[in-house]
Order: sequence, then C-alpha cells, then structure tokens
Amino acid sequence: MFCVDRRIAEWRNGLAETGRFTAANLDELEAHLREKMEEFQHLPLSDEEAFLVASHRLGEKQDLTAEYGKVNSGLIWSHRFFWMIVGILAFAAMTALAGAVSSVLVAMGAYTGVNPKLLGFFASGIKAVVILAGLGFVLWACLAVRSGSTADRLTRGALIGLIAFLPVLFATRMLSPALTARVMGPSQYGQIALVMSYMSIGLTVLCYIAMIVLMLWLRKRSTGLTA
Amino acid sequence: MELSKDLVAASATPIVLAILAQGENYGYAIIDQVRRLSEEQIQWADGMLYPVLHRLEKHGLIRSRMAHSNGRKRKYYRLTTSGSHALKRHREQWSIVHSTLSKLWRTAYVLCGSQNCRMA
Repeated sequence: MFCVDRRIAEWRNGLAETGRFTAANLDELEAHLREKMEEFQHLPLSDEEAFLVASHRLGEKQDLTAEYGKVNSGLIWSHRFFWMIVGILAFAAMTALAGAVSSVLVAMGAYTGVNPKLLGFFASGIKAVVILAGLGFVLWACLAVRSGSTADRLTRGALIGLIAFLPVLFATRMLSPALTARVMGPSQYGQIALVMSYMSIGLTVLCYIAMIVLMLWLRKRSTGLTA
Repeated sequence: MELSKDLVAASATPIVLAILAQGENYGYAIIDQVRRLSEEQIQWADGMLYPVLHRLEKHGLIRSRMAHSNGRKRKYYRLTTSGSHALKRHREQWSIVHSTLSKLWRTAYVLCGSQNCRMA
C-alpha cells in the first residue's frame, strides 16, 4: 500500500544525501510538495499520482541538486569534510580493533602455553581477517549510503558506536601486550613480536593496495554517477 | 510556448523582485502568481524558485522570516531597500531591451508587409 509520509520521507532523504541542501531548504521544499499535493485533492488522483505529479512539478533531482549546489557551495565542503573525518575515525577503529583482537589472542595463547612462533602467525592472520572484514564493511556502508534511505541513521549509529568503542579498543590494544609479556617472559614474547612485525610488513602493503583499489573504484563509480 | 532556459534564468530575478514589491509573500504563492500572470506561459520547475530566493537573500535584496499561517509553517520573503533599488535597475534595463526589440519588430513587420520579406 502507498504510504504518503514514507514516500515523502524517501524523496526528502534522496535529496538530503546529495549534501547540497540544508535542513531548512528541505523543510521549504517539503512544505511546497505537500501544499501542491493538497491542491490536487479535488482532482480524481490517487495519493501516489498526486505525489508523482507534485514532485515532478518541483523539479528533477539532478536539476534541484545543481541549483541548490550553486547557492550552498560552502555546504558541499562541510559535507565532504564530514565524510573525511568519518573515514579517519573508521580507519582508526578498524586498526585498533584488529590490534586489540590479535593482542587478546596472543595473551590467551600465552596463558595456555601455545608455541610463540605459531601464536605470532595465527594472531597476524586474524589481524588480516579483521582488517579485510573492516574494509568490506566500509564498502558495504558506501553502497548502503548510495542506494538507501537509511544513510542518516546509519551514520549517526556508526558514529556513536565509533566514539563509544574507540577508548575500549585502544585500552585493550595497549594493555594486553604488557600482560602477555609479563606472563611469557621477555624472550618468548620477543619471538612473537618478531613474527608479528615481519607479518605486519606484508599486511600493511596488502592493506594499502586494497585501499587504493577501493578508492579508485569508488572514484570511478561516483564520477560516473554525478557527471 | 515555452521560454528558453536562458531567458527564464535572466527574467527570474526581476519577476521575483517585482512580485515581492507588492508585499511579503511565500514561495508557493509566488510561483502561483507567476503562472497566472504569464497565463501559464512561464512555467518554472517549482523547486527552482527557492535557489533564486536564497541567492537574492544572500545578496541582501530580500529578507525572510518564518511564520505560521493556516496551521502551516511558511517562510515569508520581503523586499529590502537595496532590493527596491535593484528592481529599479532591472526595470530600466528590461525597458531598454523591450523598446529596442519593439522598434525592430515594427521594422520587421513593415519589411514583411512589402515585397522583399527577409524575415519569412
């Protein structure tokens, strides 16, 4: 069944995610849309038809975006900076999470007396998996933001999650190696650390290659869409 | 007949200023008035009016305020003093274009009326 309010909210979100409109702009456009739809009430039109005609009268999304973009040129950059900061925070969270998971694993392995070299390999492997999963999540988030109307909620939820989790992750990351070193003793811990630092060379290179590929792909995708 | 995009863009500012010179008004009513006055000849995409209004506001030619009317929150725009001056300048400029074209159209009509019609 056609729900007017939901359809209007989707239409509004579609405009909002371009980052060219202020909330006041969208209020004004939405008020106009609703007033136009009311004007059609005496005509034999369904709610859906009234919405379609009214939104068509308001103008195509790309024309509106272009015109508002000219007026709100400062807004475009604040929108971009916002995403840059989200990206930096997300990257910090991802590496902190990978570090925390691997160091907790090492600490647990140390308690159970696993071979230090094996433990080093295993922890590095898990670290790689976490980083790849993180990149996969970023990719998924990019696609969800592009195509969905949940962009706003997603970002707000993700930001709160990031801010709440970062201190926990960093504390785990910092404390567990110290704990491990105390349990295992310096020489055994040294062996793990050596294996992990060799592995991290390869891992870092792989991670950057993956990021560059992702960036090029997104660039192609976004310029293709906004051209 | 539909106006060309360039002409619509050029005429939007003086039209909006002239409507606001009659008194405070809001977006929906402004568009309605343009449609009625032009006898449906000038048809803007409704949403395109607002960037024009915001630009004029940014340049200090109009000012806005939020107000409630018929249970609706609306943004009302009104002309400022510099807006009135701007309208006067627009009027002078459009008068020049109008009178020049009018003279030319008359000549064209005379030419078309005679044997050597170049405008056909």
